[in-house]
Amino acid sequence: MLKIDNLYTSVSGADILKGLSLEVPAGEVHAIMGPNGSGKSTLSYAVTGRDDYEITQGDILLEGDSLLDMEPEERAAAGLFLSFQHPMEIPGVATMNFIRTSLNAQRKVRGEEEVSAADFLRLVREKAKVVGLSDEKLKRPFNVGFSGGEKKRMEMLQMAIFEPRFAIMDETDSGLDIDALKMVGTVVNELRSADRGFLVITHYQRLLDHIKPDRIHVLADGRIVKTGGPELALELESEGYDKFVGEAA
Amino acid sequence: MPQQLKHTDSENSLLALLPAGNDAALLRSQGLPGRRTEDWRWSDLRGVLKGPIALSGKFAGSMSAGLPVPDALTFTFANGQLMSSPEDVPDQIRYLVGAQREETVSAAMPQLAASLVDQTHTLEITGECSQPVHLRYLSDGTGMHQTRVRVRLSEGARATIVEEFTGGEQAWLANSLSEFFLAEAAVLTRIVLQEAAPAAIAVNTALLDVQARSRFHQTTVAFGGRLTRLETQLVQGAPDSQATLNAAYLLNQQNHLDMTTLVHHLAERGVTGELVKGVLADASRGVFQGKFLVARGAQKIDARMAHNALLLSEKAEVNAKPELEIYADDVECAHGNTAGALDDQALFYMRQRGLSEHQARAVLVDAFLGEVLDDMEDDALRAQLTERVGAFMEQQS
Repeated sequence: MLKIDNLYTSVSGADILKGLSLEVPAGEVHAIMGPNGSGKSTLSYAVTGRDDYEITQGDILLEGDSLLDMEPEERAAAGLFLSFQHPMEIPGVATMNFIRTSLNAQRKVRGEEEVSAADFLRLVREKAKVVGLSDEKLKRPFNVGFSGGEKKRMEMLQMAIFEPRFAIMDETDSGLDIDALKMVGTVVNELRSADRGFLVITHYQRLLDHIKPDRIHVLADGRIVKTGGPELALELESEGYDKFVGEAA
Repeated sequence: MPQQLKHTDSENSLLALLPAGNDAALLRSQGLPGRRTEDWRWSDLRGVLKGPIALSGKFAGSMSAGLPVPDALTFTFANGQLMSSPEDVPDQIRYLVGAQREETVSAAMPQLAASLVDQTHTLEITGECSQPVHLRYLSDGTGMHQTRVRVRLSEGARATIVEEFTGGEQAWLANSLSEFFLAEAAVLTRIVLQEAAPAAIAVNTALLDVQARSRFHQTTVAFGGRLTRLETQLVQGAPDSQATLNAAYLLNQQNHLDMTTLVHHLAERGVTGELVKGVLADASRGVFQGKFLVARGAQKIDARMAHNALLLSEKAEVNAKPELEIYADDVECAHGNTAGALDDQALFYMRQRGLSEHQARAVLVDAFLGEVLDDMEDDALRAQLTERVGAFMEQQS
């Protein structure tokens, strides 16, 4: 479903990804683990099309179509979603209005009908309950005054509403307590289906107790240096990244 | 005796236009304001005006509908002449027209306007005037014209005045003077919409004299022109008066807008809030000069000023001079000033959610200006001005 082929990426002249290849078939959840600075966030931005992440070689394909010439919003409309590691506060922008405008912008590109205000409200109410965001929070300007954990809940709310074909979750678990981790698991597990895929970037095994990954990849120095089953996470947790980082060098 | 000023061709032509016995002292002694004038140094009117200036002829443009102001009492001035006025005015308003030319004005441009106008239009308002008064100033052609409008609110009176400055595509020069007097406990809402062709020059000077317990709330939305200046001078001469001076300016192409304000607190317990937000695209230039002057003995003043500029282009430029001059010791005064670009991270975030770059920029600009428009009481007028702001963003590629 998502295929990354020999990807080289540079940011402000520095090479970050150096020949990264990875394939996530439809219906699967893959996790990426790796030490700080290995290129995990760069991977998420390169796939979603951030301007300053220059792709110097290789390709990224979603369901067989290259994403490289697509604008970020075109990728979003194609069903790509990023749960940001550090979600933005956007003062002055009404939360509900922003999410609804975004949803309808995506739907318009796909030739789908707009969601009415009433249907949208119902949808938000239902999903907000799942992610644990109060009405009061939804009435605030986007993420303004939110704690780190609340911002992650807002990411999960949007993921639940957009129902993306493919979601990248960049350290969604960082800064979350046990209950919030469980909530992330619930959202992902509700969305899991034969035609969806997930790439979960994390430092820790604990999120993977709630989201059972099909495969785990170890990213070190801009490349995947090891791929294995769920048991690899436990191995990393107890032994650390050292031996894989050594292999990459 | 200071060194004799050598007048430019423009100044000589203006001096020749003055009626006998009127010496427009400031024009004669200092010339037109420009980069050598302290409070005009970023708006070089003297340098921009080249060659002799003639007075405008008859207005030949169309009387377009303009800003829809529901239920308004509309007075339309075209090239300085009153073209239409309401057939009926409610009992709370008295409209007077006269040829007053007394020199009450101590700045060059309003003094020049006062010297050259044929008529001074006065609105005297008593009691509560529920219908807004819409003053439309239309301009066209290539000459210069001026207006002088006075609005006097008697004790406890309430009114909304909408001043709309607009015009055709030519290189006209409009110089207008708006004077307001608020008696005790009077409440005035002033809304200013300024639009001008890229070749046009427009100067409006608003002089306000407000008395005890009065309230003045001003919202300006301005789009600039070749050289445009909106100046507000407010004197709080008696205690417990409140003033709000909010503005949004949106500039593109090579438009220039100068927003200059002076609030003079002479009495105790005055409150002033000023929030000016600017959006600058292309090679536009913005100027903000805000000054709070608190006189000795004017204690317990609460005066806050903020100017924030959003630069959408690397060629856009903004000059800002916020100033506090305080001679009382028990006051709370503050000013803040920022200039910056749209947040790239926020733009990317919104695009990742599906908004086009254009949509995302428009949402962020809207959010940036929101505070200014949200503070307006009149929903219909807020909606109208919000639409103008939206139309501006539509034009930006």
